[in-house]
Amino acid sequence: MAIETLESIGLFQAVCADPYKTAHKASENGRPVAGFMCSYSPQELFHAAGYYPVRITARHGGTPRADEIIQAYSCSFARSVLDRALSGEFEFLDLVVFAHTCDTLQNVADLWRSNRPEVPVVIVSGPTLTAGKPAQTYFRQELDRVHGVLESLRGKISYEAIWDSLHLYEQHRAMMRRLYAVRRARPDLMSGQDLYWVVQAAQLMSPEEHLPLLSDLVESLEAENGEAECFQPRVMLAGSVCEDSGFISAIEEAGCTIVDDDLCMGSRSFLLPEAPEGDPMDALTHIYFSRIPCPAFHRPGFDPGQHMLERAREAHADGVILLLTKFCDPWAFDYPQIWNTLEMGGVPTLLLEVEQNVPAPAQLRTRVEAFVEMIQSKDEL
Amino acid sequence: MSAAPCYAGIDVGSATAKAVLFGRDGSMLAHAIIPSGGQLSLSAELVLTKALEKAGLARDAVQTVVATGYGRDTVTWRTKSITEITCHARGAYFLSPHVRSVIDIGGQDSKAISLAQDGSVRKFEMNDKCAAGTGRFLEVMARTLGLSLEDFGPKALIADTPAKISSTCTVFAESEVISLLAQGETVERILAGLCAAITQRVHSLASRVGMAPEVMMTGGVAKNIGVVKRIEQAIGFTLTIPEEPQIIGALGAALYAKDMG
Amino acid sequence: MSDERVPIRSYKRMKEIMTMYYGMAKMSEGTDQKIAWITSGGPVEILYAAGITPIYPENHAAMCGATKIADSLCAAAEERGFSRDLCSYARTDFGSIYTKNSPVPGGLPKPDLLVCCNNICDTVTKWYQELQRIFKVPLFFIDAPYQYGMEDGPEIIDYVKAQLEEMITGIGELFGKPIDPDKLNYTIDISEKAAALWREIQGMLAHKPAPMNSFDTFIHLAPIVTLRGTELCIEYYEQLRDEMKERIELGIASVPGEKYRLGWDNLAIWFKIKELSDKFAVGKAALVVSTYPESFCYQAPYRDENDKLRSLAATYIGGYINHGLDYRERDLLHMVEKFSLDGFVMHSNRSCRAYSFGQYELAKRLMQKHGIPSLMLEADMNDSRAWSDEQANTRIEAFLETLAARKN
Ligand SMILES: Nc1ncnc2c1ncn2[C@@H]1O[C@H](COP(=O)(O)OP(=O)(O)O)[C@@H](O)[C@H]1O
Ligand code: SF4
Repeated sequence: MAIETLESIGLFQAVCADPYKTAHKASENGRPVAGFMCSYSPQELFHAAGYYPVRITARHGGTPRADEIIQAYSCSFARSVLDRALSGEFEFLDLVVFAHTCDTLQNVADLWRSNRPEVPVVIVSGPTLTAGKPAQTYFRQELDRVHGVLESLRGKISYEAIWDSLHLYEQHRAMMRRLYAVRRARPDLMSGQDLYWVVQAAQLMSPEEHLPLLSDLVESLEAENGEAECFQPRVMLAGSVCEDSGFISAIEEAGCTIVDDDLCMGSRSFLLPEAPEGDPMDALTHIYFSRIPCPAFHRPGFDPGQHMLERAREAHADGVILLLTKFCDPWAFDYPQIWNTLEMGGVPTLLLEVEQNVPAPAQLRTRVEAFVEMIQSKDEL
Repeated sequence: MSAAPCYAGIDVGSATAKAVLFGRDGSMLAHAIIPSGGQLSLSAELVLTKALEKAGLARDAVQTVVATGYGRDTVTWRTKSITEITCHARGAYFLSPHVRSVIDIGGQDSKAISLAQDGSVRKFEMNDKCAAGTGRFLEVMARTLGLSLEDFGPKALIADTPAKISSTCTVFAESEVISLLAQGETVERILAGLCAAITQRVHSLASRVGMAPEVMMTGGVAKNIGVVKRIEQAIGFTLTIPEEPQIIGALGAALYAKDMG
Repeated sequence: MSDERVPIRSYKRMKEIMTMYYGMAKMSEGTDQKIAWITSGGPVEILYAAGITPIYPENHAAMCGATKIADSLCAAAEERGFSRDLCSYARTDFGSIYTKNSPVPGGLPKPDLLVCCNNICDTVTKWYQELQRIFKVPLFFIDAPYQYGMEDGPEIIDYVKAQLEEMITGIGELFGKPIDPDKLNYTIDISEKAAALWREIQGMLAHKPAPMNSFDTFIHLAPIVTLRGTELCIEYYEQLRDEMKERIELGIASVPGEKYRLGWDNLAIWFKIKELSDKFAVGKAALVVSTYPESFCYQAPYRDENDKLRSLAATYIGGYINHGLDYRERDLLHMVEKFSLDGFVMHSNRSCRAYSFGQYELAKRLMQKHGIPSLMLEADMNDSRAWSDEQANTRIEAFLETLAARKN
């Protein structure tokens, strides 16, 4: 692989190694920073308001402060981010943005704002139903409300400014799709871990900073000649982890090649439809309604198993590894159907229950190795 | 000593190391079980030597070695390592091609495996990190009660109803057992209670993969009749217990070794 | 005063009604009579107006819990891959569908359609998605967004109303028989009447000593959940109200020698309802109000006699559990005042994240801001496998002791 590629991956890795450094820097330069809980918030709007966007992430370690205000049967993501907030780790943010998603986060939003009133919290209370006229009308009104809130904080935010941000985000998403396309075609060019440095860095940097680095990387990868040689099973990751707690490398070390994903932090954030020209708020509404629905939402006719089977086939995956965060209801409800559909479709599936604030357990390796053996024995037949 | 080549499967577990030898003609030549000491690679070496002795073979007769089990990667001289999940399934299917489910409880982990008709692994589950629901838990309890492992099962069967042990955490259960004794609870009922506690854990693994007959139980705990009977009640199927349940992983590994030639 | 507890007579009538309800529903299976499965907070008035029999899987799951078959049904769902950490109502009902095991012989009658409103949680959203995959029948989904603020704005009322309108048309088209608007208005009226009665009955528990307690209201909740929008529902609650009046007149206390008055938060612990009722009664503590039964007589601040559907929409945004913590705190305080409470029992319900996360904060606020103590009872509404009698008893006793100390 070309030296430049290695170097640019090093840059992304450095960003991940010190997650909020870029945001701090922006803050020092006088730019307000907004922390996002979920990819369902219309980041473009906040970006247009001048905010530097970063994703709020879990971290390794216990959650003693959160344990005082939320029960132990909450997911580790919720507990970890809450603990970070209570410990003052997000004090540098100028704004915290929640989008309405699951039962857990709706309470976390409240717990956050009542226990950490210093930083303003904005909740984008979009509909759970992502289809039909009434829901669209409702969401549009909610966007207008949020727009109003942002204007009261930051002054006038013109439609042109929103369009500028939208276009920038669209370019960035298109480039991420190209990155994934290369990954699927040539998984030999870099490791899956490398891929996720890039993906994670995208959540920690503003698109205007991430995009140039990303474009360089994608172009250098696309320029590589040759054919992929892949001896290991091609695996697609899916599920409800929002970040990598060492699962990616553990999975690869156990003998898989991660070629694609259907993760909220991964492809789901940029497999979004193009925004139609015209009113930018309508464009944001369109995006909200036509993206792959996260399991916390309801889209009539959407079949999660079928969706995942199609994604796995597009990726030419030999198997799917579902990373299920313990106590994550939205995914846990869909899991049996997904498993059955994939099995019927001939795609072996492994469920790994994970905690987002603890490193991948050693035993994970045995499970993944057994899964690899399962796939290989299937190939032999 | 004969120079006919043989194939070895070695299962380096947390409690014991097991070896199985196969001849070229597909016959099982010998097996051996030894407690695994602190140094796992050494136990692997020792158990292989012991099996070779039994078979009357020299070390250089061993053509291929497949290592499995918790310590499989410490066996530096292995030809290949394969996980215990795949090996237990293979071993069980070899003994009976009607096997569709395997429950394996060893010293440190327990697993439930569902097999397809062709013997390949369809789905599996393993216990999480703690020792609850494993053989180690039973060992500690036997020691607390001053019993041998051999007596554990038969004695547990004597009680009509099990004592209620609410904790499956080894540390807590130990103190619970002591306080039950102090309250005058019979040893038999406590033993039955321990079997019930372990069964509950294993049953939830088993139900997650789904059990279908024939169900085979493997691993050292299959020698504990108290646990076996309780699991049978819980899952509603009788369990097939191989003559030597502890070596099924090593047997599977040896079969893979033979495949490799 | 005798310590003998006087049972509630109407209980017998309620059992008859519920047996009849499930019996008739079961009999209509396979006939022309249409059956809908609906969430407890779903707009049932539309179904009754359309002549469709509503069935409540949540109520059914609670029945399975009370008859102690829920554990085995949950296990059956777990065998199908549903995590043990999921809502035990959902697991109970999935298990009942697979095994046909149920207090209703042969299990619940199969639905011709499904109606889900997420005003109680988004767990029902997922639950009904799965039901739709199992039964392959139309699902009418009513999205009632969670309200983070104190007041429900006109946008959300309009949003819910628009969905109700779509549902009304949709059901009409589905069965080729439009819903008669007069019939619908009438059903909304009698549903409100039943809710008002239920509200009145609960209000009567403010009387000292309380003529019945929350454990009773949990049981007498069944008709308001399943039959609101029918005459029978009104008839039943009139009877119950009259009995309560009589008990107040005669001075019959639900907990003889009532010393402490407590509120309950979250769903009942169905498999322990009797034991807990006795346990608190022995300690002379009466549970006189609960956030859960309250939700079935929720009265929206918005009302318009000329736009019944919009009023209905406002109601179906829901109350306590579809609102943020400030709103819930206000509700709890209101209960403390109205019912002269000495404290709260908070059932921290593993099954219900929407309801439970926030309880620590609410308990903290009640104590710090208002001096009201709470007992946190870690349990589950249906899954008894993690329950420990000893632990619960100790905590309850200790809590009552602190209340005694505070009173002195
Ligand atoms: N004779 C026996 N009777 C009852 N239980 C036994 C007996 N021998 C071994 N066990 C149980 O088997 C466990 C060890 O199982 P094994 O399969 O050898 O574990 P591993 O593969 O992890 O080393 C012990 O912890 C003990 O509980
Ligand atoms: S992991 Fe699941 S339960 Fe946790 S916040 Fe995300 S969607 Fe909600």
